[in-house]
Amino acid sequence: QQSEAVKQCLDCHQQSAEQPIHAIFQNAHGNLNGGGSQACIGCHGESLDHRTQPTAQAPLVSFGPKWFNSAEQQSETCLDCHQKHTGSLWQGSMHQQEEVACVGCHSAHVVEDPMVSATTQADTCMSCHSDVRSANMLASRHPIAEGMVACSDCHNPHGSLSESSLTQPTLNDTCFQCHAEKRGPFVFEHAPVTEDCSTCHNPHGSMHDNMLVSKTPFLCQQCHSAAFHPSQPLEGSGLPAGNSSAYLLSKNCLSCHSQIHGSSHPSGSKMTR
Amino acid sequence: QPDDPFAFYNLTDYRSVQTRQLVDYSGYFELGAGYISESNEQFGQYNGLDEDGVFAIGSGVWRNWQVEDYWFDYYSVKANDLGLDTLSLNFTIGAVQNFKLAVNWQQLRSRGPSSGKTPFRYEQGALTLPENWQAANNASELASLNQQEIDRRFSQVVQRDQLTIDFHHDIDEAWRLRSSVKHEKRDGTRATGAAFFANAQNGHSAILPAKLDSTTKTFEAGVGYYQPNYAADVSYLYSEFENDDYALRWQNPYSANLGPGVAYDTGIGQIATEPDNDMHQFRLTGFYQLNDQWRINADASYAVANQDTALLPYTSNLALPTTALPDRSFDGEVSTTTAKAQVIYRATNKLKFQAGYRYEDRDNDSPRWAWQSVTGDSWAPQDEKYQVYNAPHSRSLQHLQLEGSYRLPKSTRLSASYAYEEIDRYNHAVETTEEDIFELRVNSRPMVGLNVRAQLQYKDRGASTYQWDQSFYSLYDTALINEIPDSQRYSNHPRLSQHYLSNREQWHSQLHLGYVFNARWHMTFDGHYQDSDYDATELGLANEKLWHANLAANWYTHERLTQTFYVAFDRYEYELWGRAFTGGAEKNAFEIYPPLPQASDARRDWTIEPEDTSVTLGTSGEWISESKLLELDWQYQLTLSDSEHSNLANGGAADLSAIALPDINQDQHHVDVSALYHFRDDLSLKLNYQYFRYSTDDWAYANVGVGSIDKVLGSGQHNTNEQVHLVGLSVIYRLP
Repeated sequence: QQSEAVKQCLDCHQQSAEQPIHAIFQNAHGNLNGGGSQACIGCHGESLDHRTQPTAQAPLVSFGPKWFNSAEQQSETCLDCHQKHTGSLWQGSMHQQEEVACVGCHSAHVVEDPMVSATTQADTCMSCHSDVRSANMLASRHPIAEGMVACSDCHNPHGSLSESSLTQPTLNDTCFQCHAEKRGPFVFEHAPVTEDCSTCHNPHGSMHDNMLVSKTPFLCQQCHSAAFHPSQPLEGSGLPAGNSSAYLLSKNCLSCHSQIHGSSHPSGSKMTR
Repeated sequence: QPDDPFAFYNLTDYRSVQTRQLVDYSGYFELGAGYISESNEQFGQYNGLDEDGVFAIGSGVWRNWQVEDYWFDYYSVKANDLGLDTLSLNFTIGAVQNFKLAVNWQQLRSRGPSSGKTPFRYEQGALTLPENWQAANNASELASLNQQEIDRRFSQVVQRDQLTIDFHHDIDEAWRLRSSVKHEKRDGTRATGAAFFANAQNGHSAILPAKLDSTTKTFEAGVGYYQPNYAADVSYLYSEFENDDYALRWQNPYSANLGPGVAYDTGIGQIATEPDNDMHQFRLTGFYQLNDQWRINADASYAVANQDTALLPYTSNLALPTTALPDRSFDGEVSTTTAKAQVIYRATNKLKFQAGYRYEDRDNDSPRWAWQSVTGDSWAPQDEKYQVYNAPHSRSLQHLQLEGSYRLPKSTRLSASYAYEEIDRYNHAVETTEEDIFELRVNSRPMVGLNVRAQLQYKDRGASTYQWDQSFYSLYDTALINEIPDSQRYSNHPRLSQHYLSNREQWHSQLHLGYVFNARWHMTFDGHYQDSDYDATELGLANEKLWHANLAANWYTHERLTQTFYVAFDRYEYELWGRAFTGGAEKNAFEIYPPLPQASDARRDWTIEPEDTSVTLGTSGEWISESKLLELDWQYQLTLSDSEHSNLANGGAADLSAIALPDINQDQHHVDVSALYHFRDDLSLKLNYQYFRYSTDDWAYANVGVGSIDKVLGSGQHNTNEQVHLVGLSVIYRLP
């Protein structure tokens, strides 16, 4: 039986095929069940009908391009091995509910799955999450395109009970993975900073400095309207041709209130120290 | 001609070049050289290609699979960008279903603006001015008196050196041990603002080249147990941040008379940089599949973060008498508890229910102390009534979601959900916000090749009473508060609502269409629109709108030519209302003024409606010659962004201007073309050309020189405008 299966799979699916599928033998998938055609059966099933009528009958489990099993059936094949540890929260995850199959993102017939490399992972993620791709093409962004930050550094696409499928228990904890200096606790806290970094920052990219969701000083004025300068309208007369306003130009509010994430200076109640 | 490196292919091999290269070789190394036409900021923001001139190209991979007769099955060594300041090295070794060890070293460099200038020199832990510095009372005079001293560029560059070691070991079919260690050193310079001041009107600020020097260490260990119908994973995470510079000291460049010991040359300011901190986190994750119908997923964590860095003195101005600090250090402690659960009930093959609960609690147990108020190093009142208090913030969130979904014919699934979210806050202007969230979703494949997803969501958030005077009461001393009239007991305007604490109605709609025309054409459309109305807000953020639309196409012309195209439109706009209120002299928080009539004068209202719009366009493709010896791939990205801050209006007060700000345009083009010629299976030549163009005209930096702003000694940083050409030529040799 084994020799027949070996003959049937690799006799037709040869290295001369246009699609270079034999690279699978350079990774773990091509070595399942001892390798060879037995490895094919490991994922595609025994596929007896397909072996007898190769052009008319689909393999038991097929991932395309000619035949497709349902996303659930495709993923079940992968989960037989991968649910263990890494995919234990797949059931109920956002991608599972949206009927994304494992092969929608992952490739088994390659030497190295592009999804495990930070330099190539984002291309796949952003092919669906087009708003993130647009944001990541703006001037202020994380180094995702350069492969220094991967989507999976922050998000767990295989299932997470945190908001937005984040890897860490909270959004701020996710940010603190790389920005531990912002964790504090500070003596004088800036209230929104303590609960949600995304109140002021868009981690996927922005046209404003430091990935801010909107331009300062207007971002600050959304929440600060104290008497005198914080409450004043900042407009065109404050440009260099007019009255060069310190509250509008350069670092504006942050020229003085630079410790905006919190201050541990005894005189830092106004985030200036 | 096997010994000739430029010998032509053996075209008699029946396999494709790609297959031969993938299957027959254990890796490759790439060596070459490139040239960058000009130093830049945006193109080389993160990739190390920010300096003009020649650079070396060096990358490689060496891997082996099915290693026999050893305790491991595979290994790989990878190196990237060895000729640049951003580079990485990786070594991985492992055995299937046994263990995996990965050691990764990365040098990450982020380049910020480099057009700024500064007179400050970093000496003995402080930023000092040159000996021949001539002080003045404003930035304009400083700039003209000290042109030579100021004309020193400083680059905002931050480098992170990371060493990461990841290891996991499968003890048997059920148990896995894993651990991870990360050490990161961060070093560099960034621009920071700092000021001396008696009050806000008399602030004297300077943009400083602040040095960064810190280390973050992370250790994580966990053990997982897995069975087909249940699993549990317990982990411990330790994170430690150490800042080598606990303070930033700088010399006051101004001669302004803000009190004794403040002005140049004795005036020294001091900022507390981020304090050292550490965190211990324990986490438990798992699931239990009761049967084919019921499943429970769960995740819980508890973390404690501490900082106990020694407190700096109230001021470094020795001329100011200060009281004793409350303690030697701030014994800050924040604990974070989370508990999340998800119950899935598959009633039938078509009907599914799901319930989720999420609890997040940030409990700040840090002390609340009275601190002497030392205003801008120029005034230090001794009376206890002038003390200020820190206000540790705590927050507790509960989110409950119920969802049902039903399958219809034609691969259609309908889903409906309701969620309730409550956030309780402490030391905030609003104690409780409650939100109802309703959502409908449709996923369908109504015909062959067509995929449709649609979503409609409505959120309604209600806030408890807005305690507009809360920040005032929490900051100041009771004795001082009692002396201040009721009408003056606020920091923000009483009618201002902070948007993240406010009533809000939000609509969100989303649509995805995907259509496969034939084996060669595939198109998708994605769009979403969100409208947030802060319906009870009078002053502050009144509403927000967010648009996104993306059209993408994949075109497989034939097996040797593929193309993708996309075009996207994004817009974010909001409406912000304010009321300008002054009333004479700049307010000193500790002095008592008559009530401000302007605060209740609606004629002083103003509004601004910023709009950020961006259009992104991209295309990429690949072509392989018929002989398969030549490969071309190309990519073009265009981003056009526009930020408007127009429609400024006011309620009619004569002293308020309403001049619109100019638009800000950011244009970015990036062309990246590579040609790969395979001389032999194991030898290829690669030619890469990139063109990058970026320009912006942000009014915050346009025509703003070192002395342009009255009391801000700026850096003169100007807008980035660059045009970069890059050419790279390299040889790729594949390892047998």
